[in-house]
Amino acid sequence: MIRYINEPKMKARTYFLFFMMMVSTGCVETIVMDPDEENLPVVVSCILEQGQSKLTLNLQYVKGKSMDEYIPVEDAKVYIKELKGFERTVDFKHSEGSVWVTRPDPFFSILPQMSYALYIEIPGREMIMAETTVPSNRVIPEVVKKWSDTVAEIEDFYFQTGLEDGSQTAPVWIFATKGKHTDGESKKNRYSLLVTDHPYADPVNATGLRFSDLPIEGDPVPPDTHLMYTWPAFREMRRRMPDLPLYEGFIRLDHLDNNPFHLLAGPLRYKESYQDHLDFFFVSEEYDRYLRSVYIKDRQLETDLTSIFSTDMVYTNIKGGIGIFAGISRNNLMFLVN
Amino acid sequence: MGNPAFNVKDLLTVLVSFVVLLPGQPLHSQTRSTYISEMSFLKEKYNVTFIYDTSLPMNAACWSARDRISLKLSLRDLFYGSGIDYEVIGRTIILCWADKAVDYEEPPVVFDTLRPSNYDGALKDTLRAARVEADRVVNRDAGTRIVELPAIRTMVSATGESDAVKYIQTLPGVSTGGEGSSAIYVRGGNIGSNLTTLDGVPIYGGSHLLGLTSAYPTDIVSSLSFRVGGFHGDESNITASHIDVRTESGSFTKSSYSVSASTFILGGTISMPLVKNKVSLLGSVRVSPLGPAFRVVQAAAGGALDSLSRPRAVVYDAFAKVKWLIDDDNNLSLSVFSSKDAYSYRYSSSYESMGWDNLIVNAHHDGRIGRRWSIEDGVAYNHFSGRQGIIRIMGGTVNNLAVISTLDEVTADVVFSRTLGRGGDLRLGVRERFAIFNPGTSATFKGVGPLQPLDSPRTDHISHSNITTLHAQWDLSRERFELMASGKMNAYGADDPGIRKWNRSFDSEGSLLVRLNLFRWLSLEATTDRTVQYYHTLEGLPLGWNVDLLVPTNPSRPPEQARQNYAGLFLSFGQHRVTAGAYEKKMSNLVYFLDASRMFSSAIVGWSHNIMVGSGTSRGVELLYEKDGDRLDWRVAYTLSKTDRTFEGVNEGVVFPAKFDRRHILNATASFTLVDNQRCAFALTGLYTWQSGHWETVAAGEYPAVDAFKMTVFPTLDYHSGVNNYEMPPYVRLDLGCSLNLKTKHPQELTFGLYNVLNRHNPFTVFYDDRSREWRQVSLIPIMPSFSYSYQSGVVGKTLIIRR
Repeated sequence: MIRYINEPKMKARTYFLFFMMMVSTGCVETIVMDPDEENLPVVVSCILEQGQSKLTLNLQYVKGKSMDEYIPVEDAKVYIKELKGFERTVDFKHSEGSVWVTRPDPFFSILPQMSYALYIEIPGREMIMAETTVPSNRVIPEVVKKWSDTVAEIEDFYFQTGLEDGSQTAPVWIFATKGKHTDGESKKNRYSLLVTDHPYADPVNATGLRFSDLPIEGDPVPPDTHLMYTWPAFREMRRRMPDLPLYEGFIRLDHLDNNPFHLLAGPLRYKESYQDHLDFFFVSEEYDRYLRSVYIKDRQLETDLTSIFSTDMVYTNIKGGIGIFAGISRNNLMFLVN
Repeated sequence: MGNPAFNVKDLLTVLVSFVVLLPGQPLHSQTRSTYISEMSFLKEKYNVTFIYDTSLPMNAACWSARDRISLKLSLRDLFYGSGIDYEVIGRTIILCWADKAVDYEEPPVVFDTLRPSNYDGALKDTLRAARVEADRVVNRDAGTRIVELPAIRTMVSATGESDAVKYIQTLPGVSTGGEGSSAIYVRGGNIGSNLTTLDGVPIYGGSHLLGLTSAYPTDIVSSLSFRVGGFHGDESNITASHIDVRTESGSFTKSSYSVSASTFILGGTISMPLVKNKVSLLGSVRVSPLGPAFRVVQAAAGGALDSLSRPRAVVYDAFAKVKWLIDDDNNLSLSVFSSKDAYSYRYSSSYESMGWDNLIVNAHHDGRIGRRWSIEDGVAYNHFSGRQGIIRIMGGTVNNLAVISTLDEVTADVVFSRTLGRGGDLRLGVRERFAIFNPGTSATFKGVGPLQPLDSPRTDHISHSNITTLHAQWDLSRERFELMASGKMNAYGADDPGIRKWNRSFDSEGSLLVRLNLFRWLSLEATTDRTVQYYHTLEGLPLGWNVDLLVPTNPSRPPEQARQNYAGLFLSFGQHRVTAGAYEKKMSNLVYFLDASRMFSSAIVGWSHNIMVGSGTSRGVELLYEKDGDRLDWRVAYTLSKTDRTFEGVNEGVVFPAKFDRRHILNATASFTLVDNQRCAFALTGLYTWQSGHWETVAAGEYPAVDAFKMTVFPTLDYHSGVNNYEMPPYVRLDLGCSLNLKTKHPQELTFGLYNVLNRHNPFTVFYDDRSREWRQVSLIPIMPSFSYSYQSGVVGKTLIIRR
């Protein structure tokens, strides 16, 4: 049975208390967001490259937003183990800061198509581990040149692997670099735009420019074009091929198979002799996912209002931590010769 | 490739839901009587009052209907084909000519009632009494709420504009989205799980003013039902709730108009006969002076708008409806609804824009076939477009990108209704819906950068879908119980962009509602629903901005399904009513849009690859207490619920809370009438809401990226411990308002309100500012005054029925 508060003073007091309760809840509290140090997740970064004998690993804690520096992990047991063959185990030793390295071992190197497991034991924490398989770099396309029947000119050149039908490689990231591969790797040496008609090219970094927009420095071509045997091929390709989009910085392929494909980079240079090459990086599935998500994160418009709603974590294959443990192998191919 | 979801169990469910009764011989005696005699009998039997214009032929002969099982059926059969219309308000039944509107303010002739009363105040007093009485009646539809339009108008909103959605947001089981927005999350569903229809046609862009109010004016609304369970047969393609908005018809006898002004909207409505007693027109236009208001505010605030500058806005809606009374049995209506929202602003170094449009053309026919059958049929065209645009300098080049989504839909449907006498009422129908989707298409692009040009094949996202729905509904009403059973069978087909092959599936749906009237003061009710939805909404911002992508189902994005059960009781004693119930809901094939902020990044080319499909559950307890007094009305609604989501590729497959999983939701409203006499009425209103905070995914830390190829610019990544890993502080708000109704020959209404009286900066999200090296929060609406004014020339305040 409901009892009514009829007594006037009681009514007024009730209403006042109710109002004060509502008013008192109108305060805003301070937000403390940084995770406390005891619970800082561990970040593991280790890339195994085919042929490496000395391995490097970065081990540190996530930095709270308001913290100034990263806190390295200096007390741990870290080792890597082959999961096939001899199942060798190699230990890491703390070097400095967050860097851990293995001792050089002439009998140990990273092998293609070998699977590795990484183990990290930090006192007071659960075991951290990850696995990866290093892809092989044995398969790279060859340059196939098609000569004109009438003049000493290349009509077309394309790439083709010798893979059997149905075979395919790991995901591959292709960069075009000016100069020989021995000239060293630097982003400045890289061509900024690439184009391809490969059916598995990832549009993640496609730009708004087209193949027809690919500039050639030094146009118009001087009369001695027969010496520049690649130029007619470029023009022919530009005329015959669909006006494909240009890709920024690299081309990522889900995999390579035996399908022929064209690939060019630019802006093209005309003036002096040069040798350019393509760098093929075959990456493990984990690194492919990781790199792709890092790239997308990096390229989204950070100051767009909607960027504050970014929610996705970058991929990680570290169990018990975050970061990446992956394998890559590389190869290169000279392709633009003047 | 078909994807049939049809099995024997579903067939049995559908068949049980279809109650096929043989066309019956007349079940009632055909006794001649007179209207006055029948009305006298019904008055005594059901304790009702009849009020009618004495020009009505009450002494004319008619068929007796006194042996029907309910008052509703008696009235229907008594006045069928007589040219007399009736309206039931509580225990008062108002009769009038079918082609005339009752002029409540200035009745043309002397009233007569079956209860003697003073003429001057008879109608008004009786209506007021009837209204109060109606709220005390236990025997009514499940969750039916009778609310006068003034009650909604007095709800304080940030815009000053009355909006039924704001009222719905205070009901149990409803969680709100961003502050002040029209986003609602009903029993654990997503925004896209709700459907708002205007005379049966969906409104996909249902909000105005950045989600602050609805896109349609309340002035054109004759009834509004909000249903969250026990869905009817003709309600389809939803899994959470249906806001069914029905519009008025224009007056067939007399012209009238009204004008209104609120903080952000100016409007006018006209109702008039085009051909007296034959063809009527109802028209409405609203325009927002928001654009100029923006400039004024910015000029006044100077730098107070932070990084926002040059705001522009174009907001309007228009509605027109022509109704033709063909004859006593048939009428035809044609209506057009159009709305537009367009906003642009400069934010930091970019120029951004967004907007959405609706265009609905609806032709509808109502008719009778014989004595027992009626037909409703119609054709509608529905166009919706949403767009976002950004102009930004990247890499030294101006980039101009617009993401446009469109949906064009054509719907044809027909429903046959028949009364089965003691067997109840039966409705059978079929609906055909064809749609063309083009979500996330980019347009106009220049410059370098990771964006996709317009004419690339990758930007062609056009796909088609077709839904054929057969539906049926059976209603059975007795004194002690009420039963509603509905079933639907859907045949769905859709193609994928650029691929001509159609994917098909068959899905069944069903709903059951049972109510037991144990005592006059106690009813028990239960509902169970199995629903299917074919349109997915890829949600970006939870503010009701209608810029979300609408995409059709395909094999990688199967139809969303929900199974919901509810049980509760309803108590009524004196002026008090209590509703208490509990529900549980399981959802499957929910979609999750990975990182909606990627809309303007490289992922634009492949938004379809950024969709994960998963499931969700929700459980809750809902309480509602209402008290209607002579002067003071209370309503307190409380919900305790838990809603979660699971997606295999999100949060490592671990269950996480839904973004607007608010554990506790408390809404308390009050209305106190200070003065109510023949000249004016003045009332104070208030709303207090306390809600648990929603969930945000907050990056509390960062770590370096490993980029072996040195291709990234920003080598640091944000660390989130999980999706929706941080519960925001509680949302608290107090609104106060007052309304003054001047009961002049041309009624006027003036409302003032203070939204967020506490000026509490309810945080919507938090982020870390690298420059100032501190955590900052984003709050949306501080204390905000609002007002609204309306002037009417003879249009009477209407009653909106909120059915829940």
